[in-house]
Amino acid sequence: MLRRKEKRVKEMSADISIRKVKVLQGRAKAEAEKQGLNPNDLVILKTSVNSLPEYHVEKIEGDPVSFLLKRAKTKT
Amino acid sequence: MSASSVQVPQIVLVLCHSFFYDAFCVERPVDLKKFKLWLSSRFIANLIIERQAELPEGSSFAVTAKQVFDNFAYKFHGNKPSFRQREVVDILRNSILVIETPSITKLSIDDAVLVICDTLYSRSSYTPILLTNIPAKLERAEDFYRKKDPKAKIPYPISSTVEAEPYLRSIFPELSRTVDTRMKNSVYKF
Repeated sequence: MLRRKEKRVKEMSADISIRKVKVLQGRAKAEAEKQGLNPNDLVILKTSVNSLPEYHVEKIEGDPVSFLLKRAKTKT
Repeated sequence: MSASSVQVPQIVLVLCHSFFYDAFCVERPVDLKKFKLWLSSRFIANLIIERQAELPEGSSFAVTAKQVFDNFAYKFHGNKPSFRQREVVDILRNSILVIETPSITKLSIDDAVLVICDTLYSRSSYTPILLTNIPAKLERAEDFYRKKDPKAKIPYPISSTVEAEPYLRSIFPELSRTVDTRMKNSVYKF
């Protein structure tokens, strides 16, 4: 239970923003390429720092506002 | 640097609370006037996110005051936000510059955005546009300026989202087309 809570606190402290694939750099860019994304695609980039930063890239389908509203409705 | 980016003035959109409510309203309004405000706000919110997504860190296309954003966030997720709701608010906070300086946060939500506009206007490199869907905001701004000088005029434009949309489309034609395409492919059907 405690470990789950700690994990959640760590996730919440992660930096999260919307970026375009073409402006990503380094390992975040590599992650987007691995997913076969296009330079003009919008992604939610989540960066969590443990010993090395970890980059989680999630493609935004459709327009970002609708995507975010739909996301807010889903349960984790 | 492309030719189009050279011509773009340094416009900064200053967001009133009404913008957030219209842009992030889940229900599609039935009333035609409200529908137009909703659709134009949704378009501009998407344009802000689209533009911010390619700007370098530290540059901002849209700005608001902390109390305005917090007010929206509270109404968006209530007092028991889910993890996903909190994440969405964090994402939006990273697409919009939220001013947290004490001189701004002590003001009302109306005055705070007016002070932000005035501060940006006074720095010659920015052209602020106050986006509000509250018609009375114009009178509020006039009163705000006339407190110091009865003849004072509001030095920056105050627009509703319906008025601002065609202007922003003319300034950012390529980005606007991208936004239109994304909205057509929306996860919610228009």
